[in-house]
Amino acid sequence: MKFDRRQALTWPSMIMLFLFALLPLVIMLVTSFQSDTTGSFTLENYERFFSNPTYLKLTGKTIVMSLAVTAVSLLIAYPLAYIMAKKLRGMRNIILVLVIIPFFTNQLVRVYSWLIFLQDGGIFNNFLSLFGLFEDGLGLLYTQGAVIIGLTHAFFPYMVVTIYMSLERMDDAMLEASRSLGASKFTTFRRVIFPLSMPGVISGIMIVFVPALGTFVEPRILGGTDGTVIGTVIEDQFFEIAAWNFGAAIAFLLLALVLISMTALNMAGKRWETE
Amino acid sequence: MAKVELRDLTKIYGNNTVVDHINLEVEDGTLVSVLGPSGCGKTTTLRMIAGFEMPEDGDVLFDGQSVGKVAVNKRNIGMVFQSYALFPHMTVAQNVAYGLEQHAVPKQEIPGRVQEALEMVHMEDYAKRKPKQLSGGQQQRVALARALVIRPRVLLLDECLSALDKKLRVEMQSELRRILEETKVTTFFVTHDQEEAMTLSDRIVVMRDGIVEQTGTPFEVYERPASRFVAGFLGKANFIERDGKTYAVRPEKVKIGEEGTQGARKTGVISSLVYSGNLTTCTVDCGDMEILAEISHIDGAKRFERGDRVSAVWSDDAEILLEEAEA
Repeated sequence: MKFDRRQALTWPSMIMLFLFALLPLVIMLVTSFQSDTTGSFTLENYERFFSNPTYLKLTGKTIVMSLAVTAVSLLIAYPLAYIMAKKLRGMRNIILVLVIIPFFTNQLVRVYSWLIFLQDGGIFNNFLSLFGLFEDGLGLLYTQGAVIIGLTHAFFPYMVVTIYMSLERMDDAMLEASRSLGASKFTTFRRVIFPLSMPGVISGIMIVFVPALGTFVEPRILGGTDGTVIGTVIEDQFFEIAAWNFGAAIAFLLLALVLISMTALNMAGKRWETE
Repeated sequence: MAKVELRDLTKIYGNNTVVDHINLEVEDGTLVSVLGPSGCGKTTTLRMIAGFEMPEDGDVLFDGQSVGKVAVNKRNIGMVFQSYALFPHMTVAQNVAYGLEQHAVPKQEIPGRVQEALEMVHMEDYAKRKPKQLSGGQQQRVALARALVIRPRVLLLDECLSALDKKLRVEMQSELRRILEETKVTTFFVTHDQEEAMTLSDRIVVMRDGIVEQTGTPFEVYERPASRFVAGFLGKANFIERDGKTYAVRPEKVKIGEEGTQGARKTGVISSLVYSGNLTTCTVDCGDMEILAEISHIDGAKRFERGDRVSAVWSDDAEILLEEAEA
């Protein structure tokens, strides 16, 4: 084969990708098929997962929690993105910076500040007490609700950005065309703006739902005993009970779940393609 | 279909008066071009007729009734945008049907009306396509069908031909003329292209800096321009100052003869000759001014060369007295 200098430029990144992305995955995959005791090939790690209803229930719980985070994010992100793109154009940079601040905050700082904010007798609780509400404590920390709040805060900015971009590039003349054809503002939103923003909504859903499935920091810190999800189970296998093989198997099942949901979302997205 | 009146219509952005108390009356079924350089307020005027912009002062009337307080979607207008603004997620047929659905046309009537509108613009074979699968000219036709299918009282066209290439634009102009004659809808056509305005419209409204400079038939505004601006904006003109008055002379009315020709108005040297097939544009440097002459080739007139000393001749009727001499 002839030496192609331009191709040679891509080698460093190719090697990086192989070493740091593909190779660990392969090692994990092999590990997931190894027996804990003998190290020989086995399916027992996967069998163990599917034969224990607790794990299946936890999977269900993780999916429901991720869906809730996605739904709440969508409810917050869409109006915000809409306001930025179509209403308060002068303020879009200020809003964007405010939205993006969580990106730049250390994850632990962010999570612990929620801990302080949400705990009984914490800032939020004290504020509500001023109105005579929840004087005996919120009881919000260490519940799934707290986990959903923490995760939404972590992920919804991504969704604001994807939806904002799809709204931003929409030609305003299209909205005026709709109005001139007799459509009310609401109809224009329902039949023109919303369908055309669907690509942004779908990538937003993907970008929130997928990482939410695998998360373990927020559930651990904000969820307490109520916060056990697949992510924390995997973490336990690796760091608490040194069951690497089983942990690797669950991690791969989670990866499968991620790939399945991404495929489903992609297929859903086809409906709104404009070509 | 409606008679449209603009009364003292005014639009102010900050301390910039974009449209300044303009008055206009347009008879039912007329095609009016609103012509002017960019920034003259023509698009803003159109957008006020549509209802996208609220005037600071004045009113818009359809058939004598004020629509100043009527929302865009209740004005029953058709609008074609510069970018066409077709809905990319809908097929051509769905695009055209959209307005009918908003006007609560009975479901069973819609396919027929859509078909009829698409036939009018010769796009019936493309009903199932998405806008992105169409060329610019085809999108233009669909946009026109979509605006006309709702049988609007007023049709508003915003520089809608300017994105097309020259050949297609000329084709669409005559097509547009045919369609508008068929539908007899009162039409406002905003353009900065004077040729387009001339060939298309019944009446031309020439705007500058937010005011109407002149209104008239294409013949009137070309042959009897009221101001230096109108004379210069619609076609070319030579401006002759005499006795404190300014006259405009169209270059095609100037004849070029050898030096000393009888009735010579100006004498000078030919500084440039531009041949463009049907005519040659000749610039004569007369010292104090330049005279532009367009020589047609039909009469077998003598051919001149650059540097020739010549006389420029024109008749008295060729001189148009301009109302106000401007600096």
